Amino acid sequence: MVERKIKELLVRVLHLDVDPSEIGDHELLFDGLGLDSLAALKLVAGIEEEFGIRVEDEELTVELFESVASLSEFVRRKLGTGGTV
Amino acid sequence: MKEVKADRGEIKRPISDSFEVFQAACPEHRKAIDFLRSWTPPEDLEDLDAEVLIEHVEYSYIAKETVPWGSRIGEELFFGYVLPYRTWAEPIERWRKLLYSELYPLVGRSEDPVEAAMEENRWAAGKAHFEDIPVTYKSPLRTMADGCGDCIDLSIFLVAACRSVGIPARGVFSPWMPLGHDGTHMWTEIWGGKWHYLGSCEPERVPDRAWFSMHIKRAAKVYALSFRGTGSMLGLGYCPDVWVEDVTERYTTVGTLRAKVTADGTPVPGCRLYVLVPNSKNELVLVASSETDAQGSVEMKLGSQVELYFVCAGDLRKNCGQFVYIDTGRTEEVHLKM
Repeated sequence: MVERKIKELLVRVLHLDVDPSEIGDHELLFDGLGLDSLAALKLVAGIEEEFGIRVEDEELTVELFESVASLSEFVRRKLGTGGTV
Repeated sequence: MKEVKADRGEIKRPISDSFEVFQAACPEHRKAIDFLRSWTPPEDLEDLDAEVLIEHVEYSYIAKETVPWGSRIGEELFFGYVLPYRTWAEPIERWRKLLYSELYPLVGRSEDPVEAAMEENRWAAGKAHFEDIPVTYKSPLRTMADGCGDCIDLSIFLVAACRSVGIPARGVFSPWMPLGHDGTHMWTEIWGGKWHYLGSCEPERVPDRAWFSMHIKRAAKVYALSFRGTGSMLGLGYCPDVWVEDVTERYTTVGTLRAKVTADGTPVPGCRLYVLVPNSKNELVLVASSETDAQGSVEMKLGSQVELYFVCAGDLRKNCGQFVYIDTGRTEEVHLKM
């Protein structure tokens, strides 16, 4: 699933000492998990590599990084799947 | 921005005796020398060393003639963003020959100036890193020697590195960025068919990506710095003045502020209008200023992702003005009474 892979990336990028499954789909990344701008860029690089997609400059918005759910929706849209991956 | 008549004649100085050596230059180089001298601030002109200037011109043309993209850079871009020896207010120094000698072997065979600039950014990151130090506007070689600088120093350094191999480059400045940054920031833009931005000495795998990518989409104002007169100066007071091009619209959505200033019902021409934004501490930060025209009016574009602006006229210290909301694509009319 996209959500699971993004949570694994978050754990890696943020050096979190938690199991990826403990991160909620709607947990706020900036205010809750402590994501910052630099970590967000690393997350983008990870997402691009993991899913083989390219994130354009205009797509790098605060809204994109709101939660695992918003990132997952974005990835699905880029992959053109719409549903589950 | 402060509106200023871009009249070369206002700042041009007669050729001094020390510039006799210019007469020996070829017509093409003389035109370049004349351009640089024309836009050098009057206070710097007397100290401008002829040998330094000539080296800048000679190596600008050497770069143009030796890099694959050199022939694709038109005169407007070459004069405006390759030839200048300075980005903002740093000391004038002899950096071009040294940087060309170091960087041409690294990127001189690249076909793409954007790829070349990104490679240079990786090189620059190995030479200098960011440190939160007092703003001093260091020269490129000073930053390289120190191995560190603030975002302004690092941008001056990267711009010089790019210009040294004929890549049009300029510094870009935002007086305030939100999302926790809460302050000014400066980065680099390079030309490769269009302007791309790079975090200075902060390389990424692709252009137009940096840690501040999200921040600048909510910026109030973004200014590209120019050596050549643009008709507008930064005019913020807390940093050295410089010609600027308003590039806010390239980074974020904008709306228009139209302000009219009157006193006792009469329009006030030549009155300074200040635009500020509240930061996270609810302090007001100046992001733009401009003078009213003959009808006592000012019109300017402002980033529309900023929650609230404060606009005042005449005297910044009195803070006599009003808060305004700027919506994307719309015009907000404000009437300020002095």
